[in-house]
Amino acid sequence: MHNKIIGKTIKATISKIIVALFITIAIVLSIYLFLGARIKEVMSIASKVAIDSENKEIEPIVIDDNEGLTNYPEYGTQYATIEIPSINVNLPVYFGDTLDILKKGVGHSAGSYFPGEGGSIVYMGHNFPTFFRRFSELKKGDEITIKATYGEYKYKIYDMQIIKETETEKIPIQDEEEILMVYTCYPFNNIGYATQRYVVYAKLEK
Amino acid sequence: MKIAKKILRYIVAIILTLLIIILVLVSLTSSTIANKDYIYKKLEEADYYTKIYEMVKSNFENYIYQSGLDPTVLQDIVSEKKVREDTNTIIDNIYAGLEEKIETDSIKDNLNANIEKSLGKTLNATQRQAVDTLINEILKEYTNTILHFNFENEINKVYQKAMKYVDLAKKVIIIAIAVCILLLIGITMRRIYRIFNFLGISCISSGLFLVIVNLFINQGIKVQHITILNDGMSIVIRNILLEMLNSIMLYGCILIGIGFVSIVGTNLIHNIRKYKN
Repeated sequence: MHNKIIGKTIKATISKIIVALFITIAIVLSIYLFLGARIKEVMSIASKVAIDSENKEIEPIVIDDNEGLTNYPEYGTQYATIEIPSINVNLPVYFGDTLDILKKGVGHSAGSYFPGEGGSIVYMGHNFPTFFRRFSELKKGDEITIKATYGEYKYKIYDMQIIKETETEKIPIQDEEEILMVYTCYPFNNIGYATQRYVVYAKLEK
Repeated sequence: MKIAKKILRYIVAIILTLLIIILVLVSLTSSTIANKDYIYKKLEEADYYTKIYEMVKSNFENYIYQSGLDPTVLQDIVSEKKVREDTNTIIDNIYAGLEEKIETDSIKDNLNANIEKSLGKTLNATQRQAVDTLINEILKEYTNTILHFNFENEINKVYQKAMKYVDLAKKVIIIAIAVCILLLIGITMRRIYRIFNFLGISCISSGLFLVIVNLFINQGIKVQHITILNDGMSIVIRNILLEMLNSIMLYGCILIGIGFVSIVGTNLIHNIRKYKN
């Protein structure tokens, strides 16, 4: 009798669990049918802000004459150094221009081209003594070298200008000629908020 | 008639499942992200105030580097206590619908005093203007770092509206669950073991659904790596989401357990009685 009771109970339980499973599957399928696209969209946005950068394989940056740059550096990472021998500058270049980046080195404006891509490259840095304080000593013909992880590029200075911080048209983004534009705050011995920028323009040599 | 009743029982079980799922999710939301005290607790746990304080100081330094002023002018212009008070003001604005502004006059006064002491001379009109602009930029930076975004009042409007619905939804769901149970009693002709069987089915289904939701989210999003705005905010959001996901899993397992016990128990009692008779 005991076995019969247990057998019947197990049978009834299994049948009820199967029903419960069917109900769950039906609900999941219905939600997928009606909200599937929306859920995918939300998950895609969420996964973009949840990147496991520690375990992510960093692919090397490669430059190709036909295709240009592949595998752009990750925002906030160092990908080059800038050397200006005439004023004894040798600083790291980071992709991005946040306050934190500018504390560590030179920032690469995210909207501009990379060295070797054939367009405007916009770099910026603070004007404190170990950075760009000596920009006023630069002369036309002075050399700037960018040593990127994917190649070395030499530029020759052809112009220097003092502009207002709002005159963004004087740092134009174009893709016809490779021009490096490096700027810092001006006046160099300013007290207070600097509303001007000292811009150095250099053309690619090789 | 018998088939119609059987179909009706399953329909009630499906409705009950949906109601339990919604009740769990609504209760979870109202006890976590919709609860101001819970948010305060999470900020404290993540050491949020200290992290934001450090961030404020670091951001200030960036302005000083380009100003030609000595970095010591930043000393003691803002305290962690003030950062805590201002952060809580923003949270109050969001949750209680207040419109209090962040007070920056004390920072301005401290900074002005430090700059004057550091320069040790009277500034000419141009220098005064440049220093004033710098101070205003620093104050703007402080407000932006504390605020993160400028639409806390808009969030509050949405929050107040949502809370009205959440409270109403909870009441409606509880009434609907009671109606479903009454319906089950009516359909099953007061056979208690059947009522518990169907309640068990609904509990297992809703529990399974919650477990699936947890697995789906954990599979699709690496919650531990979510990065939003800054370190402090990221840790708070990660902790809240992880706790919510764990609660969903826990409620899911509890519901499966209750459902299983309810089905096994009532069937066992029913079968014993049946064989005794």
